[in-house]
Amino acid sequence: MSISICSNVRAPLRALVVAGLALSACARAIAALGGDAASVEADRVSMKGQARGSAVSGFEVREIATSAGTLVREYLSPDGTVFAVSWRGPVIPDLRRILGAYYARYAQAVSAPHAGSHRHLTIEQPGLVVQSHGRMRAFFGRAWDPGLLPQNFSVDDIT
Amino acid sequence: MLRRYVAPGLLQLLFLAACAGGGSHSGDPSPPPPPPPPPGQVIAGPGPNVATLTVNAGPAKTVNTAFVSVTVCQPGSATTCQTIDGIEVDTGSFGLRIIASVLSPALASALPQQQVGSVPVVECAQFADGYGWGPVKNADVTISSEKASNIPIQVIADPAFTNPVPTDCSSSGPQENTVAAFGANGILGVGPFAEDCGSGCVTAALAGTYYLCPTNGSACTNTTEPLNLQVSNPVVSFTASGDTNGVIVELPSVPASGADTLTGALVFGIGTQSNNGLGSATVLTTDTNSGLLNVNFNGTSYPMSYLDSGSNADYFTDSALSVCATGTAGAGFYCTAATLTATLHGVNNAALTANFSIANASTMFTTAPNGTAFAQLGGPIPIAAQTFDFGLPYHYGRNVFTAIEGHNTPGGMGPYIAY
Repeated sequence: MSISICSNVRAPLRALVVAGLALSACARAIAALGGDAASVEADRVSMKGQARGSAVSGFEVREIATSAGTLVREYLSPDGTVFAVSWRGPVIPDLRRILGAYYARYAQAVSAPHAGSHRHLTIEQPGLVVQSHGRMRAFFGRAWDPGLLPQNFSVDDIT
Repeated sequence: MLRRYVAPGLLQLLFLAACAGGGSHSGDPSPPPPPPPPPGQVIAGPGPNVATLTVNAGPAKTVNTAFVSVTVCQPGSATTCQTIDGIEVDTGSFGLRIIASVLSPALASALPQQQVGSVPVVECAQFADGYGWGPVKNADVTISSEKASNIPIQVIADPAFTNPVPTDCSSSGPQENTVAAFGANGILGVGPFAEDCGSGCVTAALAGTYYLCPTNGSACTNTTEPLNLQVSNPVVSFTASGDTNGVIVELPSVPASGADTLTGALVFGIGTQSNNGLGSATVLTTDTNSGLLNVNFNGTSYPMSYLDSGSNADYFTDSALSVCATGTAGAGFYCTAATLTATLHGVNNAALTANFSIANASTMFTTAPNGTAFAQLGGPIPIAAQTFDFGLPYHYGRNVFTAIEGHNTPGGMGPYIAY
């Protein structure tokens, strides 16, 4: 996936594209759901991604802009595990990367009949929740492992 | 429960107030009669810019899906053609896409393949619940008497293309490569944009959009795609009639218990003919890049909202409503009855109040097992999506206008929705 993530998330799309060739050498895989903080920290430094959140609130958020202009957020618990991810933008990002080891379970669940039509999809399992919504040019989705959520965390904070 | 079977063709429901009758006291001037209220919903009868719009089970046994017939021809031919029904009308997407298995072999091989040099262009059409993968081909597309000549369309799951589906396409969900998986024979995207990707794809080879796929079946590569080559909203190409600036979805109201079938009209053009004026509709302009507008509901703003004929329910966030459990008839939809109000706000600061009802989906489906049009079907969406989706249920009983970007109408420039 051409995730040109080695630049500030506020860079205009044209700058990302122009810089794409030179930056391909430093492109990093997005840390996946269930992944660890070490990979995310390496990503964050090279990506110059924004970090928000704090120790008080018990989690941290890293943001990555993909080459298509989709914003991906990774949510880390205090022990450094990515417990949730979200995406928002014109194109759905590579969910194999974002969901990592959880992708196979997601793929199998989505193949089953579901209520949502082309605009909405919800997968709810004890170990994986995926919500995918939207239409061409405006997608939003999020995924988390209920078993990895930090204490006192509300899923309403996965945005 | 009485079921209303609406005859196809002329459906004109005009409600005129009786003039106030009556006497006056001697010496008092008679007050003038009150003006009649605006007419109720008027659904267009047959005409060159009118396609019959039908809600029924369709080719894949779906609910709240509206279908039209589309005639697809080899460009310039009047004989190498096929009329295909069961094409879903979708104001949430842009462009015509047809499942390859529906096309006759003769037509499939006669549609010219879009190429760069000698390398075919293939597209990934992403949906929230999966993707359509297939080549971009050119066709003449005729709906009623409206004709779009030589426009790019997508043929989904064309067996002639054996390249591996790129992972930045396939990992958005499962492949919707059959009529059953897709939910229709095809989809007619007549939303507020002229091309499916837009300017983003012109200068950047965006993941998950357009690809060059060698004929030897080797790996595809991402490619840029000029606007005039992108899969396009057929309406903007109805140049002979001039009905190019938008569409109207006109479906009658349905009883609360649902209807087995429903007939209305898909009308082309806004304010271009005698049957497609805005009348008393209120125009709500949308964001020019996303086509979205703001909805206020229960004290919360939802800025990424839309009206969408391609959604099979009204999807919104309401923690007071329960969701039907897995394994029940209404699984995934709201299971609580409620009468609700929301306000829609255009970027132009115009506003409309939406009063709507939700009913228990399991009860609805069980009571009307052959029902396909359910006005009170609702479903959940997380608050983080910031979206209130007024789907096909909200279209029953009102004419909904969608104006296309960059096209002028008597109500202003698109993109906007109006009703």
